[in-house]
Amino acid sequence: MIFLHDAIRALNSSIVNIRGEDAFDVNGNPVTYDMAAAQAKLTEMQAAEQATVAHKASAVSKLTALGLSADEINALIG
Amino acid sequence: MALTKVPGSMVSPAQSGSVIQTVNNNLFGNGAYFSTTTAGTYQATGHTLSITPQFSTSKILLTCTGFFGVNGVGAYLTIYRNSTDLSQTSGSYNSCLSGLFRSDGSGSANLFSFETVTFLDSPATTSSTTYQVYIQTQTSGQSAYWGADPAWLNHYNITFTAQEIAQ
Repeated sequence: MIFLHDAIRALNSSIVNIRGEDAFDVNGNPVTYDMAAAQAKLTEMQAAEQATVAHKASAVSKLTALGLSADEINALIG
Repeated sequence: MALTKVPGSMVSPAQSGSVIQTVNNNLFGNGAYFSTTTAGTYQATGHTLSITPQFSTSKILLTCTGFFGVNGVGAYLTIYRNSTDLSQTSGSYNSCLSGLFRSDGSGSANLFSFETVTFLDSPATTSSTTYQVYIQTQTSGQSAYWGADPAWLNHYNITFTAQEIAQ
């Protein structure tokens, strides 16, 4: 699960704490950021996460077709 | 109308074990309520409540609930009374009231749990006392969350309740 907080941090490395939509640096000072850019980054990160899930499912399917057991597949990819 | 004298034993102190007052701060919203990437020092979540005990001998039963999680190796939670860490060792993640940890040390995915944390405090005061939930992450740079639905509706629902218990 990717949260908006993750996207905000991905675009702003100085942000340490986020409370709701309010972001703060390591000294507790407020940090401003571009919410529209963060929303776009969130969409991008969620798509990447979904792609990873799909790739994993595809890999499991192909390994199963090759004759690997579920235990063997789990040992490989967790 | 005739006045009735109430014996002192009937009004103070309250019967031992009875609840004198209850204060709560329940929060709802979209996304995540609070997150931090700080390790080694507990961070204030902003989830607070204040209670003014009627008796200095009273206990305060604290209960907080909600999804607690980490995108990484581990995360830790405690409650502060004013500036005092109730898990006793302020500032160290070796001390906590709740924690999440991957035993294999891996940290590439989210780990979430719906937590119910309770603590029986003895503030020994009749002054207004503020309690707050604090969290930190195990590994700097990895996100820890207080109040974040990991999968379903992408909203948070966290509760924080204090009950004064007569002694």
